[in-house]
Amino acid sequence: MFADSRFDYLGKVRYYTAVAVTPLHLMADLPARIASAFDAFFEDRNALELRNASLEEELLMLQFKLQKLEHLEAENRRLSELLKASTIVDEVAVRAQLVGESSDPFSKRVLINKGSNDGVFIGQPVVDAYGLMGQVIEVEPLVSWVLLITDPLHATPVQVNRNGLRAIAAGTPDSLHQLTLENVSASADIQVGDVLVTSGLDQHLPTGYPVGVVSSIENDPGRPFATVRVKPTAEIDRSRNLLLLFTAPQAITQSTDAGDTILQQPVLQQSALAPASEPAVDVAQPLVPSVVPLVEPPVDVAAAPSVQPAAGETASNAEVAAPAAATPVPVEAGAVTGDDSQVPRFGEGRE
Amino acid sequence: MVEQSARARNVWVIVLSLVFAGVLAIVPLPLWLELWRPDWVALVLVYWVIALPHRVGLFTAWIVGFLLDVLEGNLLGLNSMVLTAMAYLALTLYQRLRMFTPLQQSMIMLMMVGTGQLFIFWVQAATGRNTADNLMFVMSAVTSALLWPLVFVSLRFWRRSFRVN
Repeated sequence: MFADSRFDYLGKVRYYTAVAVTPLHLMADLPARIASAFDAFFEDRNALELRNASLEEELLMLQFKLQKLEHLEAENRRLSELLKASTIVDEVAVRAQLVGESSDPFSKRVLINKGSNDGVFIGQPVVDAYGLMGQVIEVEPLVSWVLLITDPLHATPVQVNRNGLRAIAAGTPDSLHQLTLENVSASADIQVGDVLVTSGLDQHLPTGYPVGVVSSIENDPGRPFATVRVKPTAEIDRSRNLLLLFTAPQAITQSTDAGDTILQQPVLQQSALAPASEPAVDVAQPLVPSVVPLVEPPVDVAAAPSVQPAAGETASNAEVAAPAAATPVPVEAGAVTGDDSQVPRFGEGRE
Repeated sequence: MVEQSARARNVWVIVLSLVFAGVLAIVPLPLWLELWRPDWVALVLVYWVIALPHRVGLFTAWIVGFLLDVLEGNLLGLNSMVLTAMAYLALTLYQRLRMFTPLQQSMIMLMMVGTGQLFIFWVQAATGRNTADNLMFVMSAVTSALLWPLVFVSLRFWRRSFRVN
């Protein structure tokens, strides 16, 4: 025990033993899977049609938003280039499924079905469709543990989207659905309903992902700081589909025509869409070699073409899942650089 | 004395019951219920130690605890130590424990699991892995004690019908 907590050399032992016990996790998850498969099989046709209609409507709305987003992102990119921002962070999302939960009632950790074999690394940010979920704290070959942002041991550097006020959102021991902002002075300009996004000051969570919405503020005159409670935007306890973010900092392409051609390239590649179509784009690939096979699931390939021609171009689909464009910060996520292999991956992330 | 093979002794029943207990130990539960999750692995392990002390002992307990640690993402060796201690107690007391009524056995389980839980939380708190501020976690000892007769009767049924020895 002492050795494990203080030193590192038991890591390998744990890593390999984990392979042996992983089937147990999958077994424990089996009832939930069977139940959902059962539900899916016996689902009423009417209900399915209704759901389909509502999903189509939602898709339309999202595509509508995306049109604007393309423009904003291009503008953002041009502005940040004018400001000579040093790097643009490029993000690739890979879908993961939740397969387990910590059995310890006091720690909020979940287990996902992607491990080091899929290129998952410690500290990797995890989001769901609505916001930041947590980060990877332990990697095993086939699965990995994610510490949720609401765990009392986790703190997320955030900023208020409205005015850029920075703070730290920490988990609370008593509730799964609550964060508190630490050391916010009573006079700080923060209001109920303010959206908090990641500030990226910790240098490994990406900038601009929504973390939560301020739900209550208490100013106790007897205390130096206000008590600010935040409700996480991510569906911490309901999401089964999560997205792992692979980030690879890339130098801004310094070519003169950067702004426009970068936007053009992905358009050309859209039509092909096959992961195999790799025109010789010279931008470095993100450092996630093992991710590429994940493109395969047929569902995604089928879904992607119907989305993308209408959605316009560029690889910003991930932003739909996590609308990072909300941030005022110029160094923006989801770069548009012509990395064509992203396209299907983002399609996958959308599912 | 002819040494029987592992197959004849039906050791797989023991292994299977421990695996099943491990699955029960990690099945996701609602948050409020998680505090009451019985220590399944300890119950099953202690049963086998009492029933077959020549077969299941400290070594088994240590291995099972180690796997449980990996399974729960716990500090390595924490459950090994607690389960080994429990197995040791059961091993020294098994002749007496067999004579006890189910209620008395439940009381013993309450003490053993409760002490184990306290130890686990003490170590977790000392290593900064736990921020619990109340003693609600000891509730799992209560459910363990309540479920002991059930575990005992069902495992005895399996042991007899498969002639595990």
